[in-house]
Amino acid sequence: MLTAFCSTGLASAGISRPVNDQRAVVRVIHGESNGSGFVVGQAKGVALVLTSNHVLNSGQKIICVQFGQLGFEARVVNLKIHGKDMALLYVPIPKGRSINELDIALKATRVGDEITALGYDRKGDFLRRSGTVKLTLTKPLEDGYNLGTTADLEKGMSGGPMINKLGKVVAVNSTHSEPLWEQDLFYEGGGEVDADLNLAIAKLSMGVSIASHARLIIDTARGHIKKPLLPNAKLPKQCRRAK
Amino acid sequence: MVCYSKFLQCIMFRKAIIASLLLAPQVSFGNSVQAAGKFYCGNYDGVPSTMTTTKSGKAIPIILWKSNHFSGDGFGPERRCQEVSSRFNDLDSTGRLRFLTTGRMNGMPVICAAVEKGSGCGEGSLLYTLKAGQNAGETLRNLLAIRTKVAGPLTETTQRPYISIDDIKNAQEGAPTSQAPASVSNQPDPKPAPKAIQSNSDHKGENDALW
Repeated sequence: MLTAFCSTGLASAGISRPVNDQRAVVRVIHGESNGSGFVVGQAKGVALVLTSNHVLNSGQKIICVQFGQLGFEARVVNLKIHGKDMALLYVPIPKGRSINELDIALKATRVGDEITALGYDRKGDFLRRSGTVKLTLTKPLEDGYNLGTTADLEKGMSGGPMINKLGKVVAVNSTHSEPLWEQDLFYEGGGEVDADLNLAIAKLSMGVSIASHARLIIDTARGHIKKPLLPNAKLPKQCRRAK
Repeated sequence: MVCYSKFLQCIMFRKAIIASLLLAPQVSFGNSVQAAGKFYCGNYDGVPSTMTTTKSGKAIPIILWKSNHFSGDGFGPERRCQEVSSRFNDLDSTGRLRFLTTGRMNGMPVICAAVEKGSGCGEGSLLYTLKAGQNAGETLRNLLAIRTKVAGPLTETTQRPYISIDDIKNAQEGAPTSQAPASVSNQPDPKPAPKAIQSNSDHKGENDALW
């Protein structure tokens, strides 16, 4: 039963959202690039964090994942899950520490559903942005973007989760509305998006729906947790949160 | 004396090249950092930054100008910020920001705008000059990501070795501390859903919270 994986117990009890979903959402910092991520699996001494691939492009060697004030060095497990803008990180953390994790929704989201996007802005403040799903694309855009919502994403929220009313992750935060300049959009595998749809997308924040990738993510996380030959947690200076 | 003269000529020639690359159609800023167009040179966390303001009023930094690489030629961070911000406006007003690409001008890597999709740098198309050895393709990719993706901004820092994300992954896989399982297929997995790894309830009252 997949819901058992990562379940906090609250979601299945029908509570609108897990009380501590913020504690499953992390900051991902790669050099000058700031993004977010969320814990999809854990065991003693390790957390598996899902984020956006495009957060990891800064040309710096050390990838930092911050849980609150503590920042740890992460390793890359999968840079582009199924070729989409999603990356899985493996984060050795001190043993004897507990963290929260989020459940992944297996059911695809539909137009009209309400979601909440979680993540951190560039300053490190936690944001919770609610909205309605306005667009689902059967043919995703480049990088796998296929869910459009009115939730107002901010820079820094990339890689954070979009959760449904049950607190389960339905998508990964990817792009904000109001592009900074005009650009043609393309579908995954080629083909230009027509002007009307381009205009509609410009008014929405986009995400990558996660349901069809849940199995790979979970299997991968499980595989890494089952082989506990882990490097110790590392807390490099550059991963510390600025006060 | 001849050598000295040649040396001076060489210096002047280099400055002329850099100036030609760094200068754009001029826009007068006066004492203000705000250009007339959509893009402007502003101050973000004390750093001269090429910025824009969205229709809903959000000021968003695009490039933070920290590099002093061209300062010796008179193009410090503030000047580059102003010049490049005005180029953003020039290219935007002619619709050419849609065709950003990479190229080389006078032997230097540049980010520029093509005249049309798929073509090279057009005339008067320079957006900004990169440092020798800087990865233009990756820089362009990161710049394009800032257009809509919710990460960023780009930072032009003083020269440092560039490490691509693929290199990082490869290095990690080859590192002695890396004990990860075998690589994971990117193909959809037909297997049934796995059982729980570990639920949070298993941790209740057992450990200190990480947060």
